[in-house]
Amino acid sequence: MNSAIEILLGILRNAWQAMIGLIAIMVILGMLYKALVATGGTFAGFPQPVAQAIGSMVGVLSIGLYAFIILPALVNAGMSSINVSGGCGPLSDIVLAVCKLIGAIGALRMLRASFVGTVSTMVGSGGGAAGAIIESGEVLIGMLLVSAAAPVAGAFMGTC
Amino acid sequence: MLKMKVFVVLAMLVAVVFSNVSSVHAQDENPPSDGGGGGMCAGGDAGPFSAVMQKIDPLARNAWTFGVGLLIIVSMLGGLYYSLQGAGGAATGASGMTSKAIIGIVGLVLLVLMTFLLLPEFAKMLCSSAPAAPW
Repeated sequence: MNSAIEILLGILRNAWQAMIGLIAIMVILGMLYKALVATGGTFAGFPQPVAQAIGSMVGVLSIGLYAFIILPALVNAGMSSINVSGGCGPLSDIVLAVCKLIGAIGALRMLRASFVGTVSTMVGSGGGAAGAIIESGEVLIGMLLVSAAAPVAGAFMGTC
Repeated sequence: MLKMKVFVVLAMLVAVVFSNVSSVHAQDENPPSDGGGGGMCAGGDAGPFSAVMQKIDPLARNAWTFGVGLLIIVSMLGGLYYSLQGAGGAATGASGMTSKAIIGIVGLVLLVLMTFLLLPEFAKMLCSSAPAAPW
């Protein structure tokens, strides 16, 4: 059972690497696209597209930095709270592995939301960035609930 | 007449700067990468997803090259337009038109320099801070 979960965690680790690469590509291409929009606006003499494009460039970079720097710290914090409370009794190894799996799936969900936020900021829609942060909050709350529920479930099943 | 000569010299200098910057950066057609197995910013192995990344990576490089080329074309055309506007303003004595043209050229140069100098550094910064999986 543990080896099956380890295989799943390995696949999720590879998915994390792939999504990080995708987010980096989208951030750089998005900033290039917005630079092109700003240059076109300057050429045509319209200040509003220039200001919007520069603002979008900053927004795209901010979401990229959020995904690269803040998100791993949030995931580490959530998973450390699960690891502390997840284990008790004879099923402690399996419970800890499952908690790790829940943390990994949550982390990928947050990363996917960051990717959607990056793309939506690039095309000019403002909802994606807010959605990324809301989804990160949802995942963290879920992890905290798991960290609270795991020992209760263990006590209920008589393993603690 | 003197203002027009000064403006034409300034426009020629700007054209030389543009062509030098564009020729230097057109050679560097690829965004910075660390040459890892998964393509750009490959901090680790992408496993079964590396086949996907190997398809996406050349597409992204081509998109980058296309974007840079388009930026060069638009900025050169913009510089030419503003040079024409400035020369016309200097010839007819419209100082407002000339000053708008100068401001426009300066803005274009700043934008293009910011894009060509800062974007690769941002890419390197992102790649260097690419996090490993936290589990």
